[in-house]
Amino acid sequence: MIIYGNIQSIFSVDVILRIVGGAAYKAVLPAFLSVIIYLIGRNYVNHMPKTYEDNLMKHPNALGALISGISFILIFRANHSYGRYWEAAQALYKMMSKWLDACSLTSAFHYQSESYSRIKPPTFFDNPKVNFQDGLRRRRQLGQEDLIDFNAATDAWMRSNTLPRDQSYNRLSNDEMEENRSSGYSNEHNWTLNRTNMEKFRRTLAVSSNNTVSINDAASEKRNCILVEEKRRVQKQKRRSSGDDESSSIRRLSMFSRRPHSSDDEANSCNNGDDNSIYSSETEEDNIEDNESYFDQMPSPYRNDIGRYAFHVHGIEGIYGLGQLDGGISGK
Amino acid sequence: MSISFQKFQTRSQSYLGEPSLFLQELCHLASLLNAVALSTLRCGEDVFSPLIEYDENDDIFEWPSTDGSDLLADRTILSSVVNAFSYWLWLHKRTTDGESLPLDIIGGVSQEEIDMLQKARGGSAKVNLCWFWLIEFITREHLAGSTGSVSPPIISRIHQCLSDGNVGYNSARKIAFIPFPFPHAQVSLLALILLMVAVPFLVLEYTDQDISSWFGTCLTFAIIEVLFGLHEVARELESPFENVPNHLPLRVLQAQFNQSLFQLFSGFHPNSFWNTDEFIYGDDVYGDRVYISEKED
Repeated sequence: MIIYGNIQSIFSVDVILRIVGGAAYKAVLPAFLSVIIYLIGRNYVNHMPKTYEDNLMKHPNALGALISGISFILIFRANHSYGRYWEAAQALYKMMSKWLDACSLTSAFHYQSESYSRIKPPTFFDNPKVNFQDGLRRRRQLGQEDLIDFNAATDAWMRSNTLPRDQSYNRLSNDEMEENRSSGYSNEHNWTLNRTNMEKFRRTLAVSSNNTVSINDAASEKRNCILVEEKRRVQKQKRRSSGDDESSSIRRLSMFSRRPHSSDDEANSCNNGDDNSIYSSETEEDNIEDNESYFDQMPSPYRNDIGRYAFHVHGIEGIYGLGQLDGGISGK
Repeated sequence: MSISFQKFQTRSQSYLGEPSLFLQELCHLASLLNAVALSTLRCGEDVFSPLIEYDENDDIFEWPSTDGSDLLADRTILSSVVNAFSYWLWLHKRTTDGESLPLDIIGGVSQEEIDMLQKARGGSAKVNLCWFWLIEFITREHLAGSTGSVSPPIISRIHQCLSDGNVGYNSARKIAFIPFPFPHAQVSLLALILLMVAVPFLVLEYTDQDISSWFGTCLTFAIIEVLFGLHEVARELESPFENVPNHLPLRVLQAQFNQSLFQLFSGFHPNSFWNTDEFIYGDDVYGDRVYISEKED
């Protein structure tokens, strides 16, 4: 299969000049043979007619029958050869697409096996809170708000459990640090967010000085909620260090809740002070209550929310489990 | 037969760790099936076509050429000129697409597989053997629970697709095995040779030879050029698995098939499943592996 026409040339000269693979140059040889016959006949065979009666053929119709027959044979063969070519290509693509279909189906079904129950997302069907979380918007559109808790928890966990190898990586700029201090949050440790896209978000933010959220600015809202999450975490550590024993075992940070819900009022603070906030405080409290009530009724794989996925697992094999689960091959 | 999938950690950010052995085996069998099918199409009945392990290293990966230009061992200008002249003068050999070049298979081919394939006589038997391996594997795993609680009528879709693919293979095999009918090819070539002799005399009769001979020369050349060109086009197209470079690019198709298979386990749906890679593997972030403990809270 020759790919042609990609090179920009005048009148497609590259198409004309290609020898290997083309039929035009191969036909030159028999054409030359025919020309030689013609020249021999012209120079050495004296048949030039003097009168009409001397003509070899009185009329070209005598050759017309031969020409039409040969044309039919040639065109028929070319047509069928073209048909064979396309039929082969068609059959090849049908073969490969069907076999690939079979493999895709098998893979999709395989991910529904019990081995993957730990990392499956909550289903829309079994979790009405997910399904009707915010009207009938798609989950992808919900992601900007829903993933806040998950990301914040992830970041908080990473900051508290790992030592960053590169302190300058993903670090807040001085202006942003100052902005955090002016907003009342004392930065007690390095800001090393582990999500690379956080940095992208942060650089494109336009956060006002009083740290409020403007409407339709999901990115800034996300960032502010991370700030709130960070505040809560630090304050929690402070309470612990001061001996204040809090009974909450696992922070309920899940994508089932729209906001970081907590018993204190910190969760609502990221929307306070902004009249254009898309959340009102009443609905926020309602949501929290709904979350609390619904949360206990959740099926067990999701009851412990993010903790099940992030905090309860050791190591790579544990968290993802593919190394252990081996998909039924060992009969587990 | 464990396959290294290092590149997918960089290619697909949502991919985590090594895929399940089930998917590895599935993709290996599918890749083997396709490679054996293509190799039986491009070769004769009992010609052994080499199959090698697919190298998933991104640095050396490149698509095979569609026109067989990478088959030439010598790529100098002189060799290309010689090649062009030999083609021009009908001295080239009609070859298939890299008959001696291997087709890549995910996971490679084990010696046992090679032995079994060599015992199977003929291309149809070889492909049928690989097809049987794949469909038996899927059925066995389904009965063992690898496909979850998906009901058997739905599972039968897999078998239906495999069967349809087999129909496609046999359609292609029909083209590869059964040539264009010999009598027609013979008559068309004979007619062309007749014309090659008859046309000069025809032109001699109906062009004025007293004034000049260049017009008759050009006319003779053009007529035979067009007719033989049409015949040559037909010859090139009638065997789609031969006639490099006007063949069907089987090696490219195999590479595309392998790449498609890789995507089956390169990651979950990014908007649906948990995006857990960033806190499971810290490699991309800190250059080291991050372990997760439950001491938090």
